Amino acid sequence: MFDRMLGFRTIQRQVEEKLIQLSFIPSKYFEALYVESSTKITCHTCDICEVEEVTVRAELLKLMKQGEVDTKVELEKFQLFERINSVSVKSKEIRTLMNKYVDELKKENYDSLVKFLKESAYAGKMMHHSVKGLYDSYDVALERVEELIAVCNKIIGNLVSFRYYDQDDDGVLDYSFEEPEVLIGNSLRGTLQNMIFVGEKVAHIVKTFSFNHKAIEIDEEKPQEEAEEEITEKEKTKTKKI
Amino acid sequence: MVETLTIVLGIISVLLAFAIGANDETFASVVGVKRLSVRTAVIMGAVIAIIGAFLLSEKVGTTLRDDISKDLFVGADQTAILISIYVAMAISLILASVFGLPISSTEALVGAIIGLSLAKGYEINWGMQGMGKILLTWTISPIIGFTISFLIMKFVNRILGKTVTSFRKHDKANNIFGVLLLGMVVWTGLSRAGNDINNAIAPIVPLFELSGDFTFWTSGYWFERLPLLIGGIGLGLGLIIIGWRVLKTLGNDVVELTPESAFVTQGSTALIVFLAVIIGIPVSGTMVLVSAFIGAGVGMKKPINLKTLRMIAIFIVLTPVISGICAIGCFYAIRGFF
Repeated sequence: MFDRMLGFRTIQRQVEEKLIQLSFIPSKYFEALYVESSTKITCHTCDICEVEEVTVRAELLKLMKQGEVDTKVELEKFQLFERINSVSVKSKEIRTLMNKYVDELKKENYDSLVKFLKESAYAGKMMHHSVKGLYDSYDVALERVEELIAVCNKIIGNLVSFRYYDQDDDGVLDYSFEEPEVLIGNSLRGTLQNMIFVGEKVAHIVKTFSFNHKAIEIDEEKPQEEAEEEITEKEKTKTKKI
Repeated sequence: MVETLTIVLGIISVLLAFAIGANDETFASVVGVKRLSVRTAVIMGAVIAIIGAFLLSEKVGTTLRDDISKDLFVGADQTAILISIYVAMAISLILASVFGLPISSTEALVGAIIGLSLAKGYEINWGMQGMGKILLTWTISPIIGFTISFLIMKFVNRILGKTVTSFRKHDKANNIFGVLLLGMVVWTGLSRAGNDINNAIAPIVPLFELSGDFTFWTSGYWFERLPLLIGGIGLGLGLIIIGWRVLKTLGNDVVELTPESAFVTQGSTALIVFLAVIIGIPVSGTMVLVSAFIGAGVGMKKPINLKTLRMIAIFIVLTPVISGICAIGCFYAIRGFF
C-alpha cells in the first residue's frame, strides 16, 4: 500500500531503464541480421539479442505487474511496451524466413534485401532514440519520431519491388503470397509498420502528458489494432482471389 | 421511559454518524488518481475518521437551528423534533450515498428544520441572519470553488509547462503531487471528522458527562470522550459500508483526474474553507469540493461527465425537500411516544 501511495518510484525507474533497453534490441538485431545476411555466416549476436529480448521482456512484465497497471501513465507505458515487443517479435520472423528461403532468393533481390536490413537497423536506432528521448526531452522525442516515420515510410515505399504479380486460373494478375521475397518483404513491412506504431505511441504520450505539446498533430486516426485488422482483411481478400 | 429514550438517542447518534461517514467524499481525489484503491481508501478513511473524531473534536459545536426558526426549538415536542431532524438527515445522507452522490449535511439539516417549521406553522427567518445567509452560502460556494480551482489549475499548468519537459520529470512530478495530495487528504479527513462528529453525537453527550474537571491523564477525561469514539466508529462504518460509492462517483465519474489536478482540487478546497473561516464567509465544504473538481477539470481542458454532474445537481436541489418530508413524516409518526 505504501509503495502504491508513494508512486512506486523505484519500480518506475526500473521500468524506464528496461523500456529503453528493450527498444534498443531491434536496432542491434537488425545490425546483426545485416551482418549475417551480407556475410552469410551465422551471427551469434542475433541469438544473443533474441535471448536478451526474452529476458528483458520478462523482467519488464514482472516490474509492470508489481506496479499494478491501472493509472493512465502506467497504461500508456504498458501499451508502449506492447508495441516495442511486437517489433521484436516480427523482426524474429524475418530471420526465420531468410534462413528458410535463402537459397531460393534471386541474387539481386537478396542484395536489395540486405540493403533494406541495413536501413531497418537505422530505423530501429531512431525508434530507440525516440523512446529514450521520451524520458529525456519531449522535443527530442518528437524530432526522432518524425525521423523514424520518414525512414520507415521510405523503406516501405522501396519494398514495392517485393510484391510479385502472379497470374491465377482466370488470368487475373494479383500478388503472390508464396514467393519467398514477398513473404520476407511482408515481414519486414510489418516490422517497420510496428516501428511507426511505436513512434506514434511516443508522440501520443507526449501529447497526452506534456503541458506544452497539446496542439501537436499525430496520425492517431488509425490505431495499431485497426491498422493491423485492415492489413489482415486485405491479405484475406487477396488470398481468396488467389 | 428515560432508558428507552437513551437507547433511541444512542442509536440515532450512531445512525447519523454512519450517514455522515457514508457521504464523506474527502478521499475521492486520491481514489480518482488511483493512488489508493477504493477499498484501501475507505479503510484508511475509516481509521482517520475514528482518530480525528476521538482526538481532534473539542466540544459540541453550535448549529444553524436557531438562525432559521426560533420558535421550533422552544415549544412542545422538543424530543420528537430533535429525533425527527436527526433521522431525516440520516435518511437523506444515506439515500444520496447509496446513489453515490455527495451532498451537504447542512442542506439536509436546513431542509429538516424548514419542513418541521412549515408543518407546525412557525415563521421562518428568510433574512440575512437566517435563510438568506444560508442560501447565499449555497450560491457562492460553487462559484468560489470553481473559480479558485480553475485559476490555480491554470497557474500550476503554466509552472509545470516550464518544468516538466520529459516523461521522467512527469513521473517525478506525479510522485511529488501524489505524496502532497495524500498528506493533504489525511489532514482534511482528520479535521473533517473532528468537525462533523459534533452534529452526530450531540444527543448522547449529556449521557457521558461527569461532574468536575478532568485532566488528560484521568479516566474521567477519556470517559467523557467516549461519545466521540462511538461517533467515530459510526463514521468509519458508514465510509466502509456505503461511502465507497461516493468516492467512486466523485473520484472516477465526474472528471478524469491527474495527481496535479487532484492536488489543486484538494488544495483549493482547503484554502477556500480556511480563508472563509478567517474572513467569516460561510461556505459549504461539499459544494466547494465538487465545484473544485469541475474547475480543475475545465482548467486542464478535460471533458466533464455532464450526466454525473446533472445527477449531483439534482440531488443537491432535492436534498432539503427529501429531508423536510422525512422530518415531517417522522415527527408525526413518533410524537405520540415522546
